[in-house]
Amino acid sequence: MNKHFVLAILSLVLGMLACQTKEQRQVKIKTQLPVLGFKDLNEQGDTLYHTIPDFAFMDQDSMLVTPATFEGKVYVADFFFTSCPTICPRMKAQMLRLYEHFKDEPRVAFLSHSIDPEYDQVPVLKAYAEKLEISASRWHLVTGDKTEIYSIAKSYFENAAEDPNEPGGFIHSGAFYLVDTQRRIRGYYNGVDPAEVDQLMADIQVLLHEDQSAQ
Amino acid sequence: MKTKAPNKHVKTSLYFVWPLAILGLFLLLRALLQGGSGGGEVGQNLYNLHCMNCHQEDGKGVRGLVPPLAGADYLQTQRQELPCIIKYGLKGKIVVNGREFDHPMPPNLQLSEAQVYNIIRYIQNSWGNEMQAMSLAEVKAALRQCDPSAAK
Ligand code: HEC
Repeated sequence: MNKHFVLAILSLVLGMLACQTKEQRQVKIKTQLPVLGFKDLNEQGDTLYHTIPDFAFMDQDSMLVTPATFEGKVYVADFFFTSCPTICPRMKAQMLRLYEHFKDEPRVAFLSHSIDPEYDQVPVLKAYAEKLEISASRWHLVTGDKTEIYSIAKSYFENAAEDPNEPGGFIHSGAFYLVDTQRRIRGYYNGVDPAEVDQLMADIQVLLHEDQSAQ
Repeated sequence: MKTKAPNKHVKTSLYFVWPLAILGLFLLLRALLQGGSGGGEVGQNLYNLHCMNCHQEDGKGVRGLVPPLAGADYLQTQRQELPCIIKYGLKGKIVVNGREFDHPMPPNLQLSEAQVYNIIRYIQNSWGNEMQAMSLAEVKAALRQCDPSAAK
């Protein structure tokens, strides 16, 4: 009797787990997104969240891109390089999906950092942007000081590095990072997995709604 | 009464075994049938591994950055070049379906002749492409022509 009981509970739990893993493939409609990164308390006892620090990079139109560029906007950030022989075109194809999906939503922007700034100078980024048919008003491909780029990558918890043993000479994760209007990271997604990019699409909507109700 | 109980137990557990056995048989048959269809899946796996990141799952490429393979006139007009493009990459301006492309495609030096052949078969017969098949002999001959170590 006891054994059967245990078995029944076990199969129930297993069944529930199975259902859950199945569900993970589908887009989850969330009402709230977490704030990622370490939290701290200030002297008043308010929670201090991890935020993206100040930066200044040059985009494909030679415009300086700073946090002010994204004021009042949520943005999706990633790391790439134009001569990338591996996952970058795939990431860009997925980013293009987002870019097209939110084309009528001025509160959504995109920021792609080159981790090969020596080669990826403004004219190279300009040519790349033209091939992707993207506008610098919504999607910034940026280059800049190498140490600054690698240090901003760390603040996204991105593992970018120069590595002569890797195809193309650099490693990076292929992740897309979702940043809110207060420069906080609210999610990260595998940029080569269409299902995760679908989830990101839904999560952007959650952030837009959050900002609307905060006003 | 007591002697019958274990028997009954065996029977009920068989109910679990049968559907599993049938499922296993079905999976085995399917695997055998697919293996028999010849190279298609091998070519697809190679494509997914070496080409899909750029040319995409649907073979449509990425806008003006990566040219399409699906419905690409280039595959017909430059048919003889395909093995060399796949193995040694491609640089410089090209025109595919009337559109200009100019972004380097990296080489895939690790691919064997047979792998190049399988990939070509796959791209010649996917996404609606229906092209005159290239033979393994043709692939070998083409690769010999563009092999940089043989050119010396
Ligand atoms: C890093 C990205 C990348 C990868 C990986 C890649 N290609 Fe390409 N491919 C390109 C680009 C970019 C061009 C255009 C080259 C140019 O402009 O000269 C191209 C051109 C071609 C062409 C000629 C133009 C056309 O579209 O018909 C063929 C055929 C081709 N690639 C097949 C393949 C195959 C097969 C693989 C896998 C073995 C592969 N490519 C892997 C980026 C890539």
